[in-house]
Amino acid sequence: MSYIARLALILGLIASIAAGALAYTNELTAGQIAAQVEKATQAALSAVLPDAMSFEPAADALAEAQATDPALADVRNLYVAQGITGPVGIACDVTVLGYGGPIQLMVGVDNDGAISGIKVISAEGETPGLGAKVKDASFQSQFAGKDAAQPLTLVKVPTTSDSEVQAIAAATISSSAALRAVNAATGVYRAVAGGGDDRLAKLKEDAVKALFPAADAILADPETLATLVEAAPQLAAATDLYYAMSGEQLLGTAVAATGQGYGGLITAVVGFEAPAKVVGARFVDLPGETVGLGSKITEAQFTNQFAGVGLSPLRVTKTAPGANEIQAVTSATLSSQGAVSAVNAAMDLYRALPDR
Amino acid sequence: MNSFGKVLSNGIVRENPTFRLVLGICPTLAVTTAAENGFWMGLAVIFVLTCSNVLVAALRNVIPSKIRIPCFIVIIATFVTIVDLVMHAYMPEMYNILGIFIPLIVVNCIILARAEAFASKNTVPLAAADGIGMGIGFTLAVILIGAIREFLGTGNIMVMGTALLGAGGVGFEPAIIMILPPGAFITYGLVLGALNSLQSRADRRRKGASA
Repeated sequence: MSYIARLALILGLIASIAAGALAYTNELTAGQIAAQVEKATQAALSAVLPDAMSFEPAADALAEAQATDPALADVRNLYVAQGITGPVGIACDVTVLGYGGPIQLMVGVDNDGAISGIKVISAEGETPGLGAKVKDASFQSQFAGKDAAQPLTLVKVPTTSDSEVQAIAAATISSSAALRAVNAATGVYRAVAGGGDDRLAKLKEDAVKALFPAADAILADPETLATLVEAAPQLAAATDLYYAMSGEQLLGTAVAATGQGYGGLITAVVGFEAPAKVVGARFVDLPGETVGLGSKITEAQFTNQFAGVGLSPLRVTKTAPGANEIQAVTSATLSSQGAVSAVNAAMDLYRALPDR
Repeated sequence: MNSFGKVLSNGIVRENPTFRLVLGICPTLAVTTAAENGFWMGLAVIFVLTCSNVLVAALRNVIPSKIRIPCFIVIIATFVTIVDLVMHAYMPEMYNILGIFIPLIVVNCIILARAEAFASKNTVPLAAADGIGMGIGFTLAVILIGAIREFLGTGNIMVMGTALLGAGGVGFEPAIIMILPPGAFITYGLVLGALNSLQSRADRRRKGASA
């Protein structure tokens, strides 16, 4: 045999034996490895939705949601959590690019539309003592209870609003990666949860309760609303009519209406007291407004301006407001104008009410 | 078995791969963010090093010199892959921590260097002793460096989930730099310097005694 052939044969023989040993080991361990991965996933699912008894994968619903919004591509798996009495929420398995590698986490959203919790499954590329702190309970517990209706923002200082979470000191990239993952999960929730209408109805009712704290009952009156809108189609921006009652006494009336904001419709709930006074305004649904800019119309500094105004149409101004003027949120003029047009639409309907 | 013991202790002390031969420094610097990480990495290296040394020594008359390096690498890579699969299946937490460093044992210079310098030229028992000794030497070195970095960098040393120094640590503000790459170089350099100075002092004393 030639020298080269002998070399090749020996090397080939060693490689074949090695390949055989590897194939054998792989066969022995493959099942166990798959079980480990499944165990980790189940542990994470139970951690974010402890009330659930079982989890069913929902790949079709996820594919549908991702088809309409490619930004949700980071969500790898969607699970529907079943409890004793029915679905208790959904959980998303999300993988994003962190500081030094992928971060995988599980995000749970319960039926009320609030984040039930997050669990970081792996964050091996993050720096120990810094980015690896995304695995700490102190960071993850910030997300529990947050509303899944809007994307959350990251701030470096202690948070001032419910839609903010605080980044880990000196670990901004890891923190914002985790935030991207959570926002992708809530994005899937918003796309998938057909109960969006129920959620919106609840938000409107909560707003009416906030405007009339003394009320013990909120009565909806869709018939009167439908009659008025049919007679005057220009009032179509008004979507709901409520009466705030205390026993038999009518405390006030609330109207929900929409206005075109920066990136979509803004839903406002405006409270009125007879005969011609605005009690206040709340903005409950603003999916198209920019987080951190237009989203600030929900803050008290903006909404307080509506308390006590009369029924004349309002205008937006960037400077100090005069009569019937509302000062816009800085750098969010279009959102502010959308908010005000929603309030004006509510006022239009209230003025059209027959016996107020 | 005198020779076996001598070869074994050689790998731990006189020719410690980390501090005397200065081999395998990449995984040493990267894995020593905690003492426990160093321990598990060290165990994996002992296993791979011993197995590969034994096999290389057994095949030393069969493997032709011209293709010895590819043969060594195939043998080492096979053992490392076996360690990788077994750890993934049965020790998932450690597997997650060591992450990419398990496959990187293949290019840990200690293993290839010992295969080339010792195992291919010695009998199987001596090659096994060298593998175990060098592995233990490496493990002790990474545990030492890891313990120093973890203590100074986090204020505590975690073993199997329990903090060795109590829940609150020792109470000083930890220097995060110690668990980052610069801390690795600093710790390694200082320990190496300290060992060098001890060594030269011992050499001078021996020379003085024999003079």
